[in-house]
Amino acid sequence: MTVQVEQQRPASAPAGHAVLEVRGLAVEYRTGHEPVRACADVSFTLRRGEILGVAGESGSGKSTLITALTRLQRPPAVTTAGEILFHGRDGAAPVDLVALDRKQLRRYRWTALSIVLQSAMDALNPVMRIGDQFVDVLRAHDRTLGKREAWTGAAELLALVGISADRVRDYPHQLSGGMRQRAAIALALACRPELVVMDEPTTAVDVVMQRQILAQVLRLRRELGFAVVFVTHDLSLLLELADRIAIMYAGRVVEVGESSALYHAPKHPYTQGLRDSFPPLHAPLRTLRGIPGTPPDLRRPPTGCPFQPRCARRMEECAQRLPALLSVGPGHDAACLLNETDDTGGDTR
Amino acid sequence: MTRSAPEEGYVLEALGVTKHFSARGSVGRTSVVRAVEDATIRLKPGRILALVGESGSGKTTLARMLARFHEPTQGRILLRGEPVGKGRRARQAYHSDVQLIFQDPFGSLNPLHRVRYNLERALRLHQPRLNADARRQRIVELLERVGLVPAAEFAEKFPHELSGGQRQRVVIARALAVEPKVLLGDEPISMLDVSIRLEMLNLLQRLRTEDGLALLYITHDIASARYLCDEIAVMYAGQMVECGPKEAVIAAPQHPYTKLLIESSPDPERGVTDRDALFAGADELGEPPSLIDPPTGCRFHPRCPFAMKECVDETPPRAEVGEGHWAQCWLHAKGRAGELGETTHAAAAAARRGSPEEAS
Repeated sequence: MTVQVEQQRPASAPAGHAVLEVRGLAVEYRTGHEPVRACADVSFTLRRGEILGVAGESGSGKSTLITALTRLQRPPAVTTAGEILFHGRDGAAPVDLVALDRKQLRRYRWTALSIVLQSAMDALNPVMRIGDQFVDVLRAHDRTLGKREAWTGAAELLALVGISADRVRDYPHQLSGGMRQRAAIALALACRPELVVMDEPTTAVDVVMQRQILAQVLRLRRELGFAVVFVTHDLSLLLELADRIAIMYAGRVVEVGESSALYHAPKHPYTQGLRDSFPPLHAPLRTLRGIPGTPPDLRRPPTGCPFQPRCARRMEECAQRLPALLSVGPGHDAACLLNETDDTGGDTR
Repeated sequence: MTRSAPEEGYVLEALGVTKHFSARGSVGRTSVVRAVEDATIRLKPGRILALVGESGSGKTTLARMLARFHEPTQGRILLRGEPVGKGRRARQAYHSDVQLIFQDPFGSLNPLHRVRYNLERALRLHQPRLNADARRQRIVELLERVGLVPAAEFAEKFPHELSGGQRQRVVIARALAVEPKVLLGDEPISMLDVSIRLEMLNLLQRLRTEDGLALLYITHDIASARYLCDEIAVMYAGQMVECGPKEAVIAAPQHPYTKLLIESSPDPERGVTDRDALFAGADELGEPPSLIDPPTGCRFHPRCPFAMKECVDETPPRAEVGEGHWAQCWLHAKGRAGELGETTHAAAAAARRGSPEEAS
């Protein structure tokens, strides 16, 4: 079977340089008797101004990856291997974020790299006015900024996400959930970072607000040029939003490629199963099966490919050998032994 | 406005139900939250009705009235055409017929007890005639019914030993233990992993076809509603705005809010070629109103790009727009319904912003 990968949206896949290179990242949780590998050998490159979606189910390691990328992890999580190379706008030599201590990291937080957390209720201080929280961030990073200017800056940032200036003096509880989430996004952009990591920023809001937030992220990305790592369990959303998507399973990236390639010609049975787990909104209905079984227990991972116990196309070899993430097309990698045999099969759309 | 004569074939009906809660404000003033206003819902054996809407639209409150956790402020609930009685005995009899499945499978099973105990409790309460052997037999059947095999093994597990999907199956098995006629599912799959949601939907589908259960499926996910149900009812800010056969509602929504909801749902099949065009105009879609002081007239009018003077002043009349399909919107009464199919919400809103004199 030949696979046709559609050449789509060249405009939105910027060919720019890398802003982040992750190589061989491994994170372990050191509890109990044996360490649990939550992320293993994670590698990807994020280009300047690009939106990279990371999709995975619970236990896939996507949240662990986020805290490792932003160096926000706490014990018992420990980065045990790999590097996270950050390439600054200034063209200086890349820095390995893993090697930095807390003080050195402070230079990069907010100005180079910021984060939007899933629950805006936890991200904003409930007893501080929204504006004060913006002023804090703005003045911490620009000591020369006067109070009045900082308040103007806060109002401008909130306007970016469609929150009117008169809400600056509100407390978080006076805003709706959707507004708080948008405020958290505006706050993450306060110091014009080059990279914003977003952890399920739309999971707690309704579809209409989700659409609104995604539209704003796209517009702000266009205006300000930051890159985004967007983590979610909702692949259907990423297919519309992201330039490229990485699929995680059991702590590993099992497939990464352009969104359209992943949708039309997935090269990993898990990606295919995940894609087919979303009932269509308009296309003719057929019975969908999802993926039988449950994600593996990382304390006792299966041998070989972590997906093999649930895989409908399992071969004998799958339980013996861990497939490597190999190129299966232009900018498209997958970790499945099916791609190493001649059978390029799989269901294409 | 609701027909009060009980119709043939409905197992559970909520007729013109309203629920107001009183809430205490920060300065000790009480205000009234108009959570559900004059809603009518009818469930038939072997049929699945989806109730969709945003959080705060009243769908959970409506389900809780149907489950009798809340008494309606106004309106009636009929089981097989009969008004439901008050009192403990009447409630228990009611719950032998109507069971509610919660969203959170992690919080709805007693964590201190094995699956067996959790199921046995429902059997003891609702099937007191069964002896211990018969109960044990029934537990095995129930677990097999929901696909938890080997059943004997699952019966001995504690909830924390099960995955989210397995727990939700136990919750469904427990609901089935009482042999209900109606299942009310309040976002039963939203907390489960994507890959196992379909198994759950397929299980509910089977219970409908094989056991003839009537099912109310509450969700904010229109695609899953379309996959599972026969009809879709849409709620906005405590009111029902549209109801009809699913394909008719999704292909040609007859209320501007339904249209916004559908256009906001992710649909990879749309084939994204130009993302900026896909999301154009979507960064200002507005938010649902406060239910303490809801807008006059049609509650959607402040966000509606088609709104007219009538929409601000008066509650819209219900318009029959097709076989079993109605919408509560002034566009129909004013002969403007055709506009719904001609544009998108975002485009209509942008056009309206461009000509502010039209906005009322």
